[in-house]
Amino acid sequence: MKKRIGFVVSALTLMALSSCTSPFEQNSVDEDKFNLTIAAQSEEGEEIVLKALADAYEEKHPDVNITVKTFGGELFRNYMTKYAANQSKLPDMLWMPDDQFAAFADGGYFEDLRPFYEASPETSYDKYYSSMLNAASYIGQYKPLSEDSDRKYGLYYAPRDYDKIGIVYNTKLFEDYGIDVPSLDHWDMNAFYALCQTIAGKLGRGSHRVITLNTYWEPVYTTFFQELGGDGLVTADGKFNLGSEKNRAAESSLYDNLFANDKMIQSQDNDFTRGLTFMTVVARPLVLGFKNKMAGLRSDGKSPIDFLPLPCHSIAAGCSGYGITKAHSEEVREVNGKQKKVKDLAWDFLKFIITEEGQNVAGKTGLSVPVLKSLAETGEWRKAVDSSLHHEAWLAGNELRLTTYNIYQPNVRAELRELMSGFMTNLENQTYGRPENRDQLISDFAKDFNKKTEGKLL
Amino acid sequence: MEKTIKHANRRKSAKKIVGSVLFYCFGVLLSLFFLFPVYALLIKSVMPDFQLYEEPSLYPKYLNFAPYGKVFSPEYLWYFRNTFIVCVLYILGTVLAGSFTAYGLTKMNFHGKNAVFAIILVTVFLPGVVTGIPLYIVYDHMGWTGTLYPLWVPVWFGGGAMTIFLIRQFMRGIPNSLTEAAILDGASSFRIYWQIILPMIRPILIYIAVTAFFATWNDFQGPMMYVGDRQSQWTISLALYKEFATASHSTNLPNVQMAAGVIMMLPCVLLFALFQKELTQGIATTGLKL
Amino acid sequence: MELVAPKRQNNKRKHFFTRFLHEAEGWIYVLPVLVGVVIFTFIPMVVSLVYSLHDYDPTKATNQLTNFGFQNYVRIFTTGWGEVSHSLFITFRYAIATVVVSMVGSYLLALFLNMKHKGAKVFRVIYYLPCLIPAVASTLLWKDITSVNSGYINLILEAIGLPRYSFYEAKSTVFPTILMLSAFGFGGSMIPWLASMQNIPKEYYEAAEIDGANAWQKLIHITIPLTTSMIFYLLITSIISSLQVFSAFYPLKNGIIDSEINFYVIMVYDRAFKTPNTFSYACALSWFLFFIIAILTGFIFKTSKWVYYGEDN
Repeated sequence: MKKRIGFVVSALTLMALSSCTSPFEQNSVDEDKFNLTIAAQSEEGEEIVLKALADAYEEKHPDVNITVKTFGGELFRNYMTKYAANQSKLPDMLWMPDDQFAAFADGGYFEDLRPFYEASPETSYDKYYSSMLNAASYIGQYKPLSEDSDRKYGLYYAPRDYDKIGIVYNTKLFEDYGIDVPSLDHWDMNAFYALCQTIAGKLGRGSHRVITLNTYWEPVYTTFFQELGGDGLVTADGKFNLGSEKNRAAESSLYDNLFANDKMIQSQDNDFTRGLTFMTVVARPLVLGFKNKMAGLRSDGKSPIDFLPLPCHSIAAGCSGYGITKAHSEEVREVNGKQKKVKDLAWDFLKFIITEEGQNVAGKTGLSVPVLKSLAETGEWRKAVDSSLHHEAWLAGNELRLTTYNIYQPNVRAELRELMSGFMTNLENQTYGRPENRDQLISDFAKDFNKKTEGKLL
Repeated sequence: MEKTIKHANRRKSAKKIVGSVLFYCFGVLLSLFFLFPVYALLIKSVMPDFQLYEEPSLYPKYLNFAPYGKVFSPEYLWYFRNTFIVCVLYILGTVLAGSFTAYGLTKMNFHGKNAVFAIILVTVFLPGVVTGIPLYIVYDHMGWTGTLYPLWVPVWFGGGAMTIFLIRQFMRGIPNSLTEAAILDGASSFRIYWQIILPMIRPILIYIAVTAFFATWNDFQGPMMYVGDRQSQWTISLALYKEFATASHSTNLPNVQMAAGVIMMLPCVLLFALFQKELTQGIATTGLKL
Repeated sequence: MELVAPKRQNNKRKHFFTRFLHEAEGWIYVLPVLVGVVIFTFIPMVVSLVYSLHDYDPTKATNQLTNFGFQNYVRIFTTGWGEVSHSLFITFRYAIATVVVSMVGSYLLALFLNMKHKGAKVFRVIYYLPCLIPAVASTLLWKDITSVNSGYINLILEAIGLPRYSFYEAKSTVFPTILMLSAFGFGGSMIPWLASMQNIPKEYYEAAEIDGANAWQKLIHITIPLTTSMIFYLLITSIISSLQVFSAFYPLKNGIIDSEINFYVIMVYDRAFKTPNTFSYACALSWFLFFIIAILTGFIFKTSKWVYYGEDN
């Protein structure tokens, strides 16, 4: 027994001692440079993009040292909640996603970036997609300073990309089953239904499914409902509106043409990367991960995936970007006699990110579509994944502003999103089947929603 | 007479053989059941890449060990150092502090003893979720966030309520006559604890040590909360979690993810096999045959 | 036997002093745990209690604590009651079902492996293996194995002609799935039983044999009664930890089955981090659970006369 313990302990100690020095640069503060800290989540390639941007910027500005921190495995809002009690520990700059930042922006954690945007012609508002600028405002709409005396329409982070949702399809499956990629000439919902039904018709007993539609996701159902003639999921006076005639027509169209056929929908995400599903609806940042995961699918060197736009006139898009925390923004840092405010240092980095040079650095990583309109046709982002693919699919359609993400009163929209997500998921899974059952469900939801949000809207 | 005894014996040994056969049959059947998830884990980890895209099958077309090579990078040796520190210190803490406290609660007599036990029990009732944030703030004020301290220091203060509870149950099974004999011989309470009681509860201490190892080795939520943003302080479990389990669209194929799981499992299996006897032994009460 | 009348005062002081030392000695042993409880449990508990009595809004950079009052607790019993009562129902249902199933199942398994046959040791290791699968891999693994379209279990079911089962992908099958899959943990839960069973002196069984007892009687009159201290410990700890289950089920959320796995701690977590402005409500909810567990455990302890501890106690 002692022998055994001795063996275990000595083996472990030997292994532990064999690594004497940490392989991690201690990332400590560099005395000769201006130091900035910035944090981002590590999922979905955010870490990769940020590190690329920071490196490129440091090369251009050797007197600045940017420390990139990451938080992984937890959401932005969990991160912020943790630091809410100890704000001095927040980094100087922070990555923010459009769907979680609003409440914190409203709470005063971040700087209003409009003075900076307006200070230089390179970053004037018209150079960027206005739906993204709107997304970066907590009320869902921004206004230039001159038009906003109440300071209600501020911009709280600088959007870095323009991520519309689109269809990614598995080229090998299309070839194997002899499906022609549809032409975009008359690409509308009916053509889309026809495509799905053709594919479903060819499927036998196996595990293949047509599409992972992700209709529980807000950009997706917003886009489809809009396209199918829906009239808004919440009425002007804050009542749940899924039960309206037009909305019911929209969801019935989806159900009858798609969900009713049980070969259509696959709700497990990873079945697409496994090559079991023909198509999926996602936003651009996920594409790089797909390509890597599916690299082994084809042995003939052609790309395993390609893109199709959604068959809709207006398509929802989201974005993330970086903001400046108020915790340190007014501090002054001094190097070799020169003094600079953290605000200005941070904005300089942000400016780099949202102008052509930085946008191309970000685009090169293949993870996003630039928010700078001028790079739509020519930017590096097209060459990143595989230049022969149909990247224009990610730019198709008009801008559709997602107003449910960020508004002044977050409470209502959270309930709405939860209900809609639950409804669409169950619809996809045919849990409620016949229209009468759905009638009942919708009216239950309406009661629930109206009860929970009573008196909460402006 | 002899004939009947012989018959009885033969019947007895026949019974025994039948009993043995049944035992082994049933045992093997159960083994198949319990081995199933382990088989799935192993088989997934050696699937060739292309087969991951086809219809699922229980048999890989050939054995592909490449995923195992993809799991590690040089930093893992350093992660191992961190994990080692946390595990060893945690195990020492829970065993020593837990038995120390349980001894005080069972063999010592003082007023308020039951109240103390009640207080300890109460700490178990708390859902960890929401005291998580205030606790984080406490650690922050002490300067412990970003270090490994929150992962092992608290357990030295008492050893953890579950441990105390368990050891207490076993200590209560030790007859007081033993301790009284020692007191008459002039031993101090600590000597009794160290030289008499501890050796007697060795099996349960080993059980606690081994389960504590499993817990800290596999724990990634604790490290994620306190050192998640400081890569130089990561433990192996956290590193693997971040690398392979987050981001459903990470670039790692399922076979690499499963390979990481298998590797994490190996030290635990080894440890269990080594200390299997102690883990299932009871307390020896050989000192008691009166 | 004293020949001289003792000096009362001195004796009293001496008596008091020795008693004091005796008491102090006991307190020293529990000092570390008390300090630990204060720093690592009590203080966070108080902070969380304070939060629950206000409206704590972490999304505000300043002025985060407002509105002192019991509104969060009131909310539990009024607007929140629908969700809270449902969550309590499924949590208790889960706790009782899994504890009973798990304790009986692993007890039987321990009885089986306690038989003196050569291979028992090997079997013990094998049965324990599923418990060793690290959490990092196991959630992914189980999700994968039970997947309707691409999971191994359904593959096997189809191969032997049975219909596919939806495991975690349909509301009605979630609870049975949880119970069924808990069986894989029996190899781990049986260890304390084995330890306890082997603690029973052989003489008892030998004496029973001589008296002509059969296996069933041995079980009822010897094995079970003498393992009650372990039963007690495991009962309390299993129920308490089942009531707080979280990380085993949180990653399984997929929109469809969410209401079936909305266990109490999962609900608290979502209220704390997912829905805005309910952080204090989450604190109040967790204090509510705390009270429930405290009362439950107190009840079990008070009625624990049936527990056998050993020859002395």
